[in-house]
Amino acid sequence: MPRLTAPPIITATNLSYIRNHEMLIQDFSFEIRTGDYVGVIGPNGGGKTTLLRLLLGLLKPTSGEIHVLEGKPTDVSVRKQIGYVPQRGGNLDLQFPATVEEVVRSGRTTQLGFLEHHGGTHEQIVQQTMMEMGIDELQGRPISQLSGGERQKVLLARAMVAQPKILYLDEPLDGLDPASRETFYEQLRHINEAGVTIIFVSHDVHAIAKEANSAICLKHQLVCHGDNACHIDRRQLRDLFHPDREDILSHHHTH
Amino acid sequence: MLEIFEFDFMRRAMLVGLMVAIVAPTIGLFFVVRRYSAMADTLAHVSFAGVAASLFAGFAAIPTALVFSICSVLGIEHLREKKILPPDTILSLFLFGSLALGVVLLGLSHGKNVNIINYLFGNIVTVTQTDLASIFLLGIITLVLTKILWRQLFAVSIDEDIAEAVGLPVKKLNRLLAVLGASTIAISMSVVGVLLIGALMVIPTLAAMQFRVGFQQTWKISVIISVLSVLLGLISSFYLNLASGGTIVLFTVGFFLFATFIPSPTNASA
Repeated sequence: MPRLTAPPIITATNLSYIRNHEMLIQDFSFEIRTGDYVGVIGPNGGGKTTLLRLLLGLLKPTSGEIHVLEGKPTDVSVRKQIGYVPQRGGNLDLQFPATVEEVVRSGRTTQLGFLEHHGGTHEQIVQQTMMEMGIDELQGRPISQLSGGERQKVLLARAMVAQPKILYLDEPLDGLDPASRETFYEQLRHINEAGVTIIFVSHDVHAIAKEANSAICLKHQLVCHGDNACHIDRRQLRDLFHPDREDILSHHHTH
Repeated sequence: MLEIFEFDFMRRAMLVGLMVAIVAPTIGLFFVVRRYSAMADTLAHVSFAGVAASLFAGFAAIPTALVFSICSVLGIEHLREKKILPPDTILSLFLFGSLALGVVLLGLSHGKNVNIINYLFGNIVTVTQTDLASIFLLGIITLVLTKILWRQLFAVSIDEDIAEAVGLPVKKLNRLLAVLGASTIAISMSVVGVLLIGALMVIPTLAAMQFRVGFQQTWKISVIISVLSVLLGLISSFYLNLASGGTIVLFTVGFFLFATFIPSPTNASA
């Protein structure tokens, strides 16, 4: 199905979120279509992660509505169809005693019945996903002994074993070297080509311009929502990040 | 060596010790990996208040301690979810509050507190047939529930946010884990005492983590260490006339120190 005519998979209407009397998200409305690869960009503290947590149902909007996969973000049936890779590995403790295989396999927990044994098809999906992510040779290794790039691949694999329709990523590449970043982006391209909608939060405008086919730019308010990150207005982009840095604009237009 | 089994009280002590040796690190593992070890200590002090209340009112100690612990863990989890206080201060509030309540109730018990030392420091040889039945019933329920919910508890332990985002009932699982912790402490009081039960839940897991293996393997090693510590502790205390609770915990510390000197398989091959 052509992306532009695909049905909306996420709809936000007049979305606002206030915390401790501070307006973090102000009156957002947007639609994300099935199969989109959306970059959510904006300066640090601009509300990107807050928006993602609202979409994930981890925060409750102060006002407005969100519909994901024709349901509420907090519906268990909706949640079983999403994958999430948090910022800097999330709360994953590096000393946590678990192997790569155990962490990846934990991503299938919600797909299994209450007393269902993990095996057969479930195990095939786990093994297949690890192979696709290039971590099958690491499966017996403790996560404490992985590099940053390997750890992010494990977290991506854990999200993908649930075979999600929507994949949320919150600045997953912070602190990684360029080679690890490129491999990660390549894997995301394959995932998107397979029909998974991707919502990618980042402060890296250049990467979003190159990788995503749509962008949501925010700084507490919705600055713009474009079909292609490269078409975001120069002035908006400059105001969004650093009003005094013209170099951001020149870099942005090289892509 | 076999004369130790000629006594009824030692056979009961061995059975109770083995059950506790399996249950304590099984629940303790989830507390340790979530950096929630202080919960074990807090629940132990709440159990102390429960024991004091049982002596004061003339109720059975284990069920009273269990009721106190379950009410407290539900309160602790409620405050933790509200996020109005940092988690460690919530635990401190319950720990010191329970200790104070226990001391006051003991003071009001007027001579009925002769058994309190057994509950504070453990005296496994005083376990009665009724205690044995309660401990086995609670222990088996705790192990069966943990086995059924193992996958869910593991996923929540890795990252609560991700677990909630993908549809796991995180709050319910957290409360259930806390109740299982309360149950573990209630059945372990007679083995190592409320002051040392945290050690039996935490130290075998810490020792097992030194091997740097997976979650399942860490659990198996922690249970082996715990079982060996209880057996060696009971035998030593019988023949050397030592306090059983303290001796058991000293063995767990010994295993921990031993484990820190063993290179992990992955490190050794690197």
